[in-house]
Amino acid sequence: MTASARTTRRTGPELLRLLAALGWVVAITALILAGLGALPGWIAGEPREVRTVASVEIAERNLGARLALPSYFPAHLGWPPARIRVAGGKGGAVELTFRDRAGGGDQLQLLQATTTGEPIPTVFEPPGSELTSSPATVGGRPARLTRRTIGGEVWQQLAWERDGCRMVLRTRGDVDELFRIAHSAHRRGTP
Amino acid sequence: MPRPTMAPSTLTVDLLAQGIFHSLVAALFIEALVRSWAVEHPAQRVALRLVALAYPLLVFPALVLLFPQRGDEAFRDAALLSGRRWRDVPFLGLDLYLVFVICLAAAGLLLLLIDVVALLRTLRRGRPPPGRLDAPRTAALDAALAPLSPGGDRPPVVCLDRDLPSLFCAGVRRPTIYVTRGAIDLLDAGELRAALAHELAHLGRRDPARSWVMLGLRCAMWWNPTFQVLARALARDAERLADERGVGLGGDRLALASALLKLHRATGGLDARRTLLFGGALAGTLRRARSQDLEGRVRALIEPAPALLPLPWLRLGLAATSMTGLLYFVT
Repeated sequence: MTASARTTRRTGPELLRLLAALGWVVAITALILAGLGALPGWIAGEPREVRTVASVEIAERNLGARLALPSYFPAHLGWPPARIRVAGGKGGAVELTFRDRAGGGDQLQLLQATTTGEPIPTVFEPPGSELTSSPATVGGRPARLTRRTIGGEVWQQLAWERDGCRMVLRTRGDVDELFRIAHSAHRRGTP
Repeated sequence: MPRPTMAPSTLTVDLLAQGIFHSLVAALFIEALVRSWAVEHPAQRVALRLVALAYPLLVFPALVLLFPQRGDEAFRDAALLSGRRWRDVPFLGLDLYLVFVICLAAAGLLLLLIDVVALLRTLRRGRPPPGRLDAPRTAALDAALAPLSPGGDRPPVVCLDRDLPSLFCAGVRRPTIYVTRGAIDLLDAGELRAALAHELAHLGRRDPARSWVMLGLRCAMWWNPTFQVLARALARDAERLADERGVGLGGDRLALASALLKLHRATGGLDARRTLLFGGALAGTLRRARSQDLEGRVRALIEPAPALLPLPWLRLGLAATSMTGLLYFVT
């Protein structure tokens, strides 16, 4: 047997061992990184597809769409939103949570999908039960008004479509105020 | 649609955090490969660890500059790990991301300062003036050097008139081997030859100059604890490499192991007590760490010479490529 043939025979298994060990190390590293990547979501109790962003502008950039915001905004609520959560990246949905200026917990939530016909993701659906539900209208378009419990408290929820995109508004406050806010919702940058 | 922009301070924290985390992953990845491939030869260990060391210096800046889309919020969906998600985790009202950066940067600075303070104190003490040896000691030194300089060119060796047994190589432009009177008295002929061969290996690689370059890089990367630890690991590898090359130059493996043990026993822990911040508290730990380093070197020396693994360049290339590929998806 020639020297080169011996070398080839030795190199073959060695190359296989080399690649197998490399594949093993890459796979383990990727698994650990993915686990660490998912850890903040587990700790915060949020699924991987949901992320908190710092501003409405960043949410719009993530979603690739202008958001509809109310032009009527009760003075007792604080602006900007206390929490902005985005799900699904481009064409996904957003949840804006507002708190009372005087303190206390969440007071108003505005959820909207940015793709026509797409539902609001279930990750934005808080645990609780529906008490009553009745048809309503927002700007002449059909809507549904629901009384529901969230975290042991009663919230009013109004769901409708605007330009084909699903919108949901929830409040712990007054129903009339809820409708006024819903009526005034318009896409940013449009009159 | 315009690209999302970050405030400069946020961007700095973001890049610092990424740099630290990428270095950590790169170092652990390379360490896992060193163990999985059973890399024993110090030259190959040095080469692989240099890949990890070069990562924060060259590859990470290149990733940031060449692939700015990795900084986009939208990239977080594709990323294996996005450090910024830790910003969403509430912890005693603190920003965990910022706490992570501050703690690790402080650790990096501390690791650097420990070595810099020790070095500054050594420099301030200065090197003792060269001394003259009596005839028997000069003869012992010449006898040890003769087999190591077959061409007749005597390597630059300076004798120091000190009781403390010590041999070292220093000097950037003209690296020189320094031998104390105490070392010549302590070591027998074979041990002295092996220890001098070890220092000759340092001299041949111009290790003193390399260590100054490394110190400069460590100062530039003061905020990166992984870089500091890797630099120390490389210094240990350089010692093992000098052991092997010294053996190749004519030193005997067992004689060098014996010389190392004798020198360690005569000097071990002294420097730690005198040069470190909080030296009293850390002296014991550092002495144990040095003893472990020495144990590893002696173990390697009493074993047969480690073999070079085949396909070294392929290993380096694959290690660098796969590491960079993985870290591309870590933002």
